[in-house]
Amino acid sequence: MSDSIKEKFKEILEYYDNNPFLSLIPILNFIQDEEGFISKDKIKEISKFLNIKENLIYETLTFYHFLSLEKKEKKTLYICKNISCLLEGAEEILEYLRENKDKLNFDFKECECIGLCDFAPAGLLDFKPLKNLSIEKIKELNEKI
Amino acid sequence: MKKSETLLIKKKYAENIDEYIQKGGFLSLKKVLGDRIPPEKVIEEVKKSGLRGRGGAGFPTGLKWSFIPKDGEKKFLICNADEGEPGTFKDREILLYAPYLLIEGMIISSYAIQAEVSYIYLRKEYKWIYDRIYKAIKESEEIGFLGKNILGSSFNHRIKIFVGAGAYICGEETALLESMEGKKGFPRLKPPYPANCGLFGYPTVINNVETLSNIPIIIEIGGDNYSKIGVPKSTGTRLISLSGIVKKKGVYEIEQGKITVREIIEDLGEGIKENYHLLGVIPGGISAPPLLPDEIDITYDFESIIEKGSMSGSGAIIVFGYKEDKKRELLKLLKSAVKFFKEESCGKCTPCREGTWAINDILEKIEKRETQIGEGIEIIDVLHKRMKGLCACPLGESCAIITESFLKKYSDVLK
Ligand code: SF4
Ligand code: FES
Repeated sequence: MSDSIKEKFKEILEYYDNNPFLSLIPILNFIQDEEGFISKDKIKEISKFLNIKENLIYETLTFYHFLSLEKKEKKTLYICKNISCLLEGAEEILEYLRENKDKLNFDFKECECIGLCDFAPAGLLDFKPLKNLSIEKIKELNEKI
Repeated sequence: MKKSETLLIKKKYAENIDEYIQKGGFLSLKKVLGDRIPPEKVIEEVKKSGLRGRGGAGFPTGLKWSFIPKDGEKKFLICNADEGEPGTFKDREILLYAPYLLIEGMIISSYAIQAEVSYIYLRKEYKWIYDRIYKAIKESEEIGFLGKNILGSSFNHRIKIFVGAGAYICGEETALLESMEGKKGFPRLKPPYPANCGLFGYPTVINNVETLSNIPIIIEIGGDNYSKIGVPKSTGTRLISLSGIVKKKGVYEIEQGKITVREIIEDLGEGIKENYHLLGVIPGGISAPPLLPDEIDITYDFESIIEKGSMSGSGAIIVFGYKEDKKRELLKLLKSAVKFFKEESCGKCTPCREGTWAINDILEKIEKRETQIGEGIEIIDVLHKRMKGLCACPLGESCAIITESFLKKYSDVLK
């Protein structure tokens, strides 16, 4: 484990009053955000660092939408397909994305309500809000990434 | 007629801590700690106010606090900032624009139950708000509203943020606890309730963001005065998230029981968007059964909406309808709602885990006209009976209830 990651682990553990269980999801989130996925090696390291059995870490990890065991080459764009976004045309955007899959510089995934229904259709990229999405905006985004 | 905007909570919006203090911020905390008001008195005041939880269930807040044992070494307060009920975004507004009000509320509430540490469970979808809250906590620490011996009292308090990892079910308070304990978010069987056995087994109170943000206001104006705002069983104001086919979507603050659902749509939302036909309103997030256009002349408060067979839940008002003659698009909306429950069912209880899939199948068959609506309703009713009282949380049942209700109320549209 690199020193900087170890430092960060220690920092998280300290922030949560040295409680390894309380620190587990924050540490998983940290690795996920840094590396885009959580590798088997990282799970071993986390297990050793927190003294939590590996199988328990897997159990937790596989439950949550935003934690992943799979390495992704591209960033993931989350598109909300829940009711308020559907009413504002989320389906057309998803259709465009599905049709143009090969041309995209990012992956996309449907997700549930992200609390931006007043800016529907909405999405998240790197956990930053994308408001009032349109096919135009998606095209622009694709060029920028 | 505008019955909204700057009533209680919205008055406390502030860019930084100085602006909040200028607006009278932290005076309630000063009152509680400076005047050495005993914790029980604070709980008493909140009970008098009639404040009910703003997260969904509407449980009386003061009563919830009073279940916390007086003795015992450790207690926790958790602020539930995991609003995931589709259509809901009002807590986002507080977190962004009134984080100091929330922090003040959390300190006073923690004092009331004598908790030295509290947590904000922030949904990962709101990670972009993390820095905002973190900064507000830091500012509060620097001024001395957080830390040791706050305002010269013997009360110590720290607030920490915990970010979730994406799971609707973690908004359910015991699933939230499991998640904080590093586990998958399976709701616990109750009893025991968190007030006795909460985070790591310690007595814990879990309150919604908006609920906690009302606390400084209650202390400021007094529980009795607060209880006079709104109507007797639904006191105070409420933040509602208005979305769907209205012209002006957004978060509005209304006085409970004083404005009708129709007025909310017409006066605050400035009416239905052009070219759209109104089909109905979901008054409390998608777990709440819909109201037909001729059922929305009721005031917005807990009781009036329950009387109409629905609920105000998380305060999310979704106005839905269709363009041109695409009435049957309604089925798409209903399908998205059911898919939501199916995907967010945590899988702990068989009737919910299997039942939500079965309901989804029925809808697909209705869509292909392979199943009659009446027949669908009958099957869902059977599924519903298998869920009732047999599940650890209300998710599966909500799925059955709203589907049945949609199919019944809109059988003509969906045919
Ligand atoms: S009812 Fe459904 S969501 Fe709730 S605990 Fe059971 S399986 Fe999980
Ligand atoms: S329904 Fe799409 S953000 Fe809420």
